[in-house]
Amino acid sequence: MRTTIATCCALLLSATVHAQDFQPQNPECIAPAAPGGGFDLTCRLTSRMLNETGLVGPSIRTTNMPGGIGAVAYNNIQAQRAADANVIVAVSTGSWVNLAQGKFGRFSESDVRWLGAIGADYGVLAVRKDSRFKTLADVVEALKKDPTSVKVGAGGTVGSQDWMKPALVLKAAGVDPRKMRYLAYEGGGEAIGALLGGHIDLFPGDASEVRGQLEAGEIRLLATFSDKRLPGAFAQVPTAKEQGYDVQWPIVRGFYTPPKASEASYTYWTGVLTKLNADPRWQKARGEQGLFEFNMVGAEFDAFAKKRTADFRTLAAEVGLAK
Amino acid sequence: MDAFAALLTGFQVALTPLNLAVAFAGVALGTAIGALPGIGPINAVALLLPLCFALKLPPETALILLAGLYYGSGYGGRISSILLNIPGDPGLVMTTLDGYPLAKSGRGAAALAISGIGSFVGGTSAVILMTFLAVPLTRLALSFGPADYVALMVLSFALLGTMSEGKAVKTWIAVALGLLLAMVGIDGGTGVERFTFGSLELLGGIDFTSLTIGLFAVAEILFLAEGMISGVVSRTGSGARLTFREIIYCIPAMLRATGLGFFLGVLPGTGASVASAMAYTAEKRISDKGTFGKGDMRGLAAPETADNAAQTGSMVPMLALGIPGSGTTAVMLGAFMMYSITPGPLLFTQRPEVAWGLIASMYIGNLMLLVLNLPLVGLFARLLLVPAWILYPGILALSYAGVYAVSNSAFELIITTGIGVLAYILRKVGIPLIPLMLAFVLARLLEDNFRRALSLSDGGYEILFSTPTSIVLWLLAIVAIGLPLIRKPKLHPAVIGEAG
Amino acid sequence: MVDRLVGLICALLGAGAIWHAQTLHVPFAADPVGPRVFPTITGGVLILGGCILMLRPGPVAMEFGTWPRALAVLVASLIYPLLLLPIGFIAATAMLCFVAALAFHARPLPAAVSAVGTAIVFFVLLDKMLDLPLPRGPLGI
Repeated sequence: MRTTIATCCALLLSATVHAQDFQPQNPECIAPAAPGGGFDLTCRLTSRMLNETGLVGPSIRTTNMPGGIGAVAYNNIQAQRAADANVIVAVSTGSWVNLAQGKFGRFSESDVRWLGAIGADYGVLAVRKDSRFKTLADVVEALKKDPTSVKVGAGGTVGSQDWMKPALVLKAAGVDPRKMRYLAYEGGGEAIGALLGGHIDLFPGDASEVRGQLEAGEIRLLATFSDKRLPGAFAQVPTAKEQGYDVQWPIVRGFYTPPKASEASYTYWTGVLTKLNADPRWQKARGEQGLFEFNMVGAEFDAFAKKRTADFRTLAAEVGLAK
Repeated sequence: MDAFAALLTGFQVALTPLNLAVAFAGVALGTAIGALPGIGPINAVALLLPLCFALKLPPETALILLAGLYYGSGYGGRISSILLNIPGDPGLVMTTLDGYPLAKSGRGAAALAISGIGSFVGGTSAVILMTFLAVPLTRLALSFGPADYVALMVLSFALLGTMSEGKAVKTWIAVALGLLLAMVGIDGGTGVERFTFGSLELLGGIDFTSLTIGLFAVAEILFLAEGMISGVVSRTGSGARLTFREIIYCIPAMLRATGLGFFLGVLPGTGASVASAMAYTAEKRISDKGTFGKGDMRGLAAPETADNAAQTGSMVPMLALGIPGSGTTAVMLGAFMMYSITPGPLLFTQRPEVAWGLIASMYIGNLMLLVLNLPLVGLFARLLLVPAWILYPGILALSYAGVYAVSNSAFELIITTGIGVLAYILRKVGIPLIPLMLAFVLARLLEDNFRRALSLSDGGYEILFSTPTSIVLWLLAIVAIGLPLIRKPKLHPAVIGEAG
Repeated sequence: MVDRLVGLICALLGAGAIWHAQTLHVPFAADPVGPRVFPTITGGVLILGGCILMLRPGPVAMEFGTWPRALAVLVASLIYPLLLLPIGFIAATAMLCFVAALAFHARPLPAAVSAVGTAIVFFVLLDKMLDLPLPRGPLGI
């Protein structure tokens, strides 16, 4: 039985290989950030698992190309490697937010080919364990009464995705997001420190970065910005939607390829990503990273990326952030 | 479980032959990688992380390797700072001030030795503090609010005045230039682009490493090529070993620097570069009788000790609360997560073998660093025997290769060279570079925290003096500025101790 | 004289910084201070410092050595990033090292040998051993 399945798989694999007629040479994953960040982990973890599971034969190297949440890498790809089929570049929701605000130079979301997602993190709203806010409704009420009475702090600039999350909450509450009292920190870690130190009231962070604090009872989560409740340690946390405010913020992590990469290579990369998402070994590794399932590959992901970017463009224009 | 017993179990983990070997390998490799300009601990750690998985090392062993690397690479960069006046890493700029004069007078080996001893003292004292006070210290650090940071930065700028040589107005011009360079990029508070001139590469600001290499490595090599300065070291007195008396002489400076460095390391946002800068300027204010900058052992010991103490300190918030204190610890935090270990308050109860094994390995790593490097200082010092026409082109190429390898951007190389040209011109016209670099380091911390503080108070300036800590720091800043004016050069050490 | 010129440049730079700060388009006041205050103050310091330097210049000993050698190193450094991708790391680095070695008084043959050697050693070190990808030239080296 097992042999049969293995043979079938082998046949299937070889068949697809023939059909695609593309095999990467010296494949490379570009992490458009310095080592240690989300992009870097996305690249290193995905490369490792693609090699370990045998989906990609040649060893994938990770290259760091920091600058502008992906802007530098985006432009480098356009200018120098527009047809390079051996390279995939990590992308996240944060890149789309900036792309929508014209911070990626003269290029738009239609200038690359979106490959697929390998997982997602979700926005959460955290307060300190002894906070006066017990539910999302408490926060909204306080914001309605006086938007400046709630000190919000996160690890991104105004206009970044960390700012967008609370801005959407304010918008849902019918308050002008521009009235928010927002403190920008250098990275989520510093903002969590400020929350624990009592300097800010509200931290709109990501699920993966607050898990340790949540499990230790140092913080309380008022809401997750997901469509369904998140599993594990987050099972007790209601979604914003449940509480009557339809704010969703998945931080999708995925990849794109250069615009002129061959059709065969696009089929190849979307193929391996689809298989990766289905592989139990990957699912385990993904969970350990604090990422949740987000299976969306190929045309569907391409449409999703363009839709999200367009949404962010509208949102940025509404709050006066667009260029 | 009390800390002693826990530490003992930690040592049981760290002293297994595999973990000892791994700690040794980490320190040795780290020293080698750290010696490459531009490639600092953060890259060393990120590079070897995948290797740990490939070798299927258990988590505590992997973390021990990474911690060894972290210490080792911190030390490796000192070799070129001391011997060649070329710091490859921002935290090492202060090392050159007294280290290079020592090397020029033929005491390169002794300088490397005191640097190693300083690192050991700083690192080990910091680990001891961490063992017993990690959680209360982290709480203290977290209570540091924006207003306290502002006052701390004002004190740092006040101490910067000690660095002025020649015309004071030129120091202030240097500071202003450093501030302007630091403002390039996206402004955190509003998301507005400042001084980017439409360049996407400049959105993220000027990279600290590129700045350091441009200011110090490129400019130095241009000066050397021109024959304006000579890299030739004095042969007289070479081989004059470090004496026991000299070590004793440096001990007070090392202890002060440990306290200051460790606390600045624990504080989120301030790392080794701020710590070494403050330790040097404070030590100069306390002990200088005209010998600093000319090869005073204490001027070398203070920043070195503070640098290592801060590196250890920055691991404290990560271990105690899962908050990364610096870029490198962020990478280590990633390593934790890859091993599905959730760093944070529960780490010590859930995975004591990991937490205490790592802490025990820091003791061992520090000792190994000393044992490995002290016998080698003489060998390192022979680097200066390499002919200039091989050595300096090699250093230049390695600096550029390091910048490129990390950024993958040719633009970054042009920026680095451009800063080198700027530094060359500034040196020619007598504008000092150290204040420029220090202002660059401190600028963002000052501006961001000033703006956060006023956001909290809705524009009221009274918040800047609203906490006891901030008032103490403001008073210290006034003392630091006022004291030299009333011609009383010696400031009691205890006063600075409070600042830490 | 040098100080007067430096002072003038600094003052102009400061004025430029202030002008740039005033042209910043802030979408909305996210914080009470805003992005203009710090560049404006810094520009002010530069103008003040520049004016003091212009009015009360000190003597500056501008000495130049064999500056063409420094210039050669500089030109090689500026060409280096442009060559890196087209001809690859090894060839570009060898060129840089060769020019720099000549500037440091090497004879041509030893300079060429050490330059090629340096480039190969660094390539192996960074690309092969440390896994930091460096550009390869048209021949794959």
